Amino acid sequence: MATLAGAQTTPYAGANAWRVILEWLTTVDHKKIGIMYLWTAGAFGLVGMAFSLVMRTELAQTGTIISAETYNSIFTMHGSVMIFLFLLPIGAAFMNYSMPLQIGALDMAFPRINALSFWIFLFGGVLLTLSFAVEGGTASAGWTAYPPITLDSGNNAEPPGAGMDMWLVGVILLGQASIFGSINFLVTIFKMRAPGMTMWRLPLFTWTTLVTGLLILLSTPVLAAALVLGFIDRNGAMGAFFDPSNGGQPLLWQNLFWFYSHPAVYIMILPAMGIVSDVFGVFTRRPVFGYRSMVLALVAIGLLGFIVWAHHMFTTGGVFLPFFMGATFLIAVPTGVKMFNWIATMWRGSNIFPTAMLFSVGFLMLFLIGGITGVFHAAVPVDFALHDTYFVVGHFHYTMSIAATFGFLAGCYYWFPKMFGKFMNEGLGKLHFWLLFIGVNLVFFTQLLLGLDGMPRRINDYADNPGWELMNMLITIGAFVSAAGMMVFLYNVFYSLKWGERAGADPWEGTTLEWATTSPPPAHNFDSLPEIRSERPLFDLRFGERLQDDPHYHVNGNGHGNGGGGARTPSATAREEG
Amino acid sequence: MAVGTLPQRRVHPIRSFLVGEEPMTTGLWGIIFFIFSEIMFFAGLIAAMLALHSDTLFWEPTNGAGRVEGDHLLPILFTILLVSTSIPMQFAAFAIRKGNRRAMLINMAIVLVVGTAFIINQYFEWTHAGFGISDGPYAATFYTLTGFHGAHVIGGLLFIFAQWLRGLLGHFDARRNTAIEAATLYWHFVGFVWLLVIFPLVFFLS
Amino acid sequence: MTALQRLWRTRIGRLTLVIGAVAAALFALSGLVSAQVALPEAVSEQGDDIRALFFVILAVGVIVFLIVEAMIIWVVFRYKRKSDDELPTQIGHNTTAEILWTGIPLVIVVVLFFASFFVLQDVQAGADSDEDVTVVDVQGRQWAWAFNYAVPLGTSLAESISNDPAQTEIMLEDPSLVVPFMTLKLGVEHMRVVARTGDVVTVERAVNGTVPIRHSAGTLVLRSFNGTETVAEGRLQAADNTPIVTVPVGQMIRFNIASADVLHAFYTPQFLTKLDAVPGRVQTLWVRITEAGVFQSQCAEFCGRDHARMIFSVEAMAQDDYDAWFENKAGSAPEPVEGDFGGEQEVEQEEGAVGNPINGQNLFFAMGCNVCHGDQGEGLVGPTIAMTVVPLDRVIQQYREPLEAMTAFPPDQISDEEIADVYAWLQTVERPPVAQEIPSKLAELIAAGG
Repeated sequence: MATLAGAQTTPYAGANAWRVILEWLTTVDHKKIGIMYLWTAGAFGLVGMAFSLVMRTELAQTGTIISAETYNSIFTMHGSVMIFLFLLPIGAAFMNYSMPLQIGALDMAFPRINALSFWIFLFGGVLLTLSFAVEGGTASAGWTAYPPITLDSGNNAEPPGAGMDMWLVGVILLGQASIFGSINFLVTIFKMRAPGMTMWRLPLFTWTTLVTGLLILLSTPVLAAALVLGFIDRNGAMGAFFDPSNGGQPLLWQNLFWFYSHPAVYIMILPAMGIVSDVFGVFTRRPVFGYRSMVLALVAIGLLGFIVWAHHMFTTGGVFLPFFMGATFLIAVPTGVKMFNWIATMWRGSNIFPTAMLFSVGFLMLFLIGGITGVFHAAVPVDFALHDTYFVVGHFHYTMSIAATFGFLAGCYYWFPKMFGKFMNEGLGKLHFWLLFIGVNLVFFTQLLLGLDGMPRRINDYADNPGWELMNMLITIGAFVSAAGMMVFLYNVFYSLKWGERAGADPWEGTTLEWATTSPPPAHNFDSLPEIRSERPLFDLRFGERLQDDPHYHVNGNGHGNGGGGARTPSATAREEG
Repeated sequence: MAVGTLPQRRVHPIRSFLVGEEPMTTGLWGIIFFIFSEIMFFAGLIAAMLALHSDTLFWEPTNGAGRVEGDHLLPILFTILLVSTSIPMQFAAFAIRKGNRRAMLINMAIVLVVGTAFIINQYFEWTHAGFGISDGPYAATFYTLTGFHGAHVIGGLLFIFAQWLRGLLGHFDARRNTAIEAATLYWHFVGFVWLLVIFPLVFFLS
Repeated sequence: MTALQRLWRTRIGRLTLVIGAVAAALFALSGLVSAQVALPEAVSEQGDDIRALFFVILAVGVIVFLIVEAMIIWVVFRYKRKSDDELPTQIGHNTTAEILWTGIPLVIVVVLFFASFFVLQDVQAGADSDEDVTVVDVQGRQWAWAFNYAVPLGTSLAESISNDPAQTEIMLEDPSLVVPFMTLKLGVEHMRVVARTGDVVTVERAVNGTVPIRHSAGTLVLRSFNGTETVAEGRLQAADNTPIVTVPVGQMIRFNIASADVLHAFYTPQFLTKLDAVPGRVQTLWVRITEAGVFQSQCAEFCGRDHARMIFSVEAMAQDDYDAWFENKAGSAPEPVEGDFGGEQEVEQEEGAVGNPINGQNLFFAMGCNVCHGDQGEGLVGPTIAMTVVPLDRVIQQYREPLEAMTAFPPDQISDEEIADVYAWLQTVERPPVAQEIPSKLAELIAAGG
């Protein structure tokens, strides 16, 4: 009996394996769900990386190693897995784990729906993966799945098989998981904040969660509509939506798809920006510069994100170019504001550079290149030249893929002690950082150059134009260097879980509420909360007295912030459920 | 501190009408966000319909059966019926806010009966449409939009029915009524979307 | 130096340094490569404009990159924590600075917007209305390109055609050679044939090939005089059968871009532009070439298995050479080209399929279906119907109440069962290469006209 009682309090120690598994399978705890998202998305990320290595091996030299069909299937699944099964859910992982802690909540507003989201996500991911096993293989029309090539109506020479249907259904499920997740995040942020946690005191990561949640909520259903129409088009409607042979319009799909998928790139990058903001705040010992302008820039990016979708369609001849060009150029402004604010946070800061901070600085450098190359695409005539070349591939990897990944890796190193009570190994972390930083720059900067020279994307073989083979070989080398970096990271994770240095409740001298509880936190998150008078309650606690005479230091306890949610404790809202 | 000493919150009359004077529960917030996502879903489908109609090669069903517009009477009748069930549903919410469970159950029963009748009529509309889903953009959008709307009506009816059974078992009172408020909001949404769907499909897009 | 030595002492530090050195070497290498690559030298007026705009943006981008990167590196190396209890300034915002770094980027992007806007106007301006234009109808298909040219009418015909754009019916000496969708050219005016009734040909008229963009169900065949049409399957290098589109230097060229099946994109890197071929649409790309040469080009929108092999060449030659080439090409019947446009398709007899294919084949020719749809149903004026995926009941509907220009066939001419027979036969024919018979007729037409 004694063992059993012990098992209940510390499930890791003496409990039998089945109990632990059952506990994780049935958990509704946001922290456990967040960690499950983290493991699952991480595993899918490795799968997606493996696909990229296959592609790079094929492209290292002219000539082919694998068949064109296999290549098409691999690049389609690389995109689909990386976006739908790695970048989107890994954002959800951190939002699940950290956001409720940051606002001092006991759990999410709807813990059971939160668990449901995860399981729907996992099911959708499994469905996508299983499509390798069906006749005809996976979807192979690119992750954008532009019809009519996805259809079996009309004149498409090689209609895809059941894998395409599984892709469509799988992504509908993943979208549904996102929508349920976003409702949860939004209600949690609006209703579950601890007393004193006003909107203007939310940590920046929570703000990004809020804006991301709104983007998911309003854009994902449109993707669901497109996917549903695509599914019906393949199964019954004979192309009546997207194939002109039965009266459909191919460009309709692109409009609906990008109405989701442009906001989706912000859904991927905003949480990473939030993590980076929090990391800068901690390791500089300064307030994140221009907190309010950061929030406004965030909201501006979110709003503009909804009116620029057609910049993916400049060369289709079917969109009103000047409007979308103007709106796209404008996005550079709030993005620039964030960039300068981050730099200003480090300016005159008391900076230290553990791995989390290194990845955040790396994020800035990568995102800078990504942002500047974005301006080339915003200019329609230049986009005519660069669209669908490797320049685009380089650009979007620099922004939503690699910069986002750097942000999330910063999050891993930053929150690992909170999640598992142990530090990640710093030496291995720095090795990981340098390998990855060098590798990805080698890959994606070379891709920019290759794109300028006119190599189109999504081809499995290329002409031996001068320099192309050399550049492709460099990209392949870079890909393998990056992969080696990720292997170091993988080793670091398992090494640190087992032998990592123990971390206390607040190993980084954190500023936000998640550091006010034990590592890992108890199931109910907090035993007590500090007084919240600014967006840095723990900083105030630690340094407030010393800084009392500093004219620049103030806690913005002005009393007229939005206190609606903060005035009520979580238990007060839970009482009224019926 | 006694509850009576708290200052009275001023509540906007529209909000008061829709969700009552009480502070909104997390459940109600959740359903409102969920309805927003549903609105965007139907916005996507309806935008697709309008885009197809504005720029298509052909619109009428390609098997020559003609659109269902020939017989307007039943669609109009059932549109009026469906949309007007928002009234008893709202009365049900009013009733339970005052703690009157009996009135709530009666009003919800009206909604259930009329809603089911609507679905039965939809079944006949489908079976008598005269064209198949593959007969061009009009036909495909007709089945898709009415189908998804019908699925939402059925979902709404099942939810209302479940709450009706709970009501019979004595659940819900003046304070604990989130599910009823949620069902009411959702039911308004279902009726409103039907107006958006049926009018373009039947009347405007010729 | 001491920092390096300290780093060298640990195993991980050594690894880091070695990797760093290798990476630096690789970067230097890629720098060498990059010295050779930029946007290609443009060979068109439009491309020159785009390239100039690119360099403007590149200059701004490089300056911004250097400034911001320098700022990042500076704050990283300059501001380090010196002692554990050090507390930096708590300045949380600075309104002036924030307005500056909102305002300056805003000004930059507004300037770039207007620069791009004017270049865009220029690139899309097209030809003057009195300018002679070479019109090439481009059709992408899986996985090949077809290039067709407008047929010039002889000068003697010009008298029968007035300048009044309202005149849409013209008389030709031998109109039997004219088929719908064919483009005729008279001076700067282009006419797309809509229909023919007896001797009268109905056309849509426009200068500069600005024929109204038409949608068409199914395969849109913009077939008039066949310039080149070749499959690129299986080859990446310029080979004998790479499709070539021949165009003159100096004259404005209007590419009318269409697709027969899925999305493609017409992309010539040296033009610094591309345009998607969208099924159901015909879109225009204007190019005025400034240099003679052969320019490797390829499909830029993913279109399935052999997307990477869907290459073509643009051959630009001086106007005189071009005229001679055109004369020669139009005057001789092109050789038939072997090729498979539909990919290998197994003929499968559907279970429970009704209809007698032999009877169907006889009916197909007896009813004259082959006149519009080709002897193998491969499509001529009418769409390709070989191995059609349209269900039988819709095919019957099409016979009874046709959608496009097809003649109606009431049940007393052909019964439902007989249509089923034709349908059954159509399922047995392979999709053959596109027929090549029209060009020779066109040669006659030109001879008749001139």
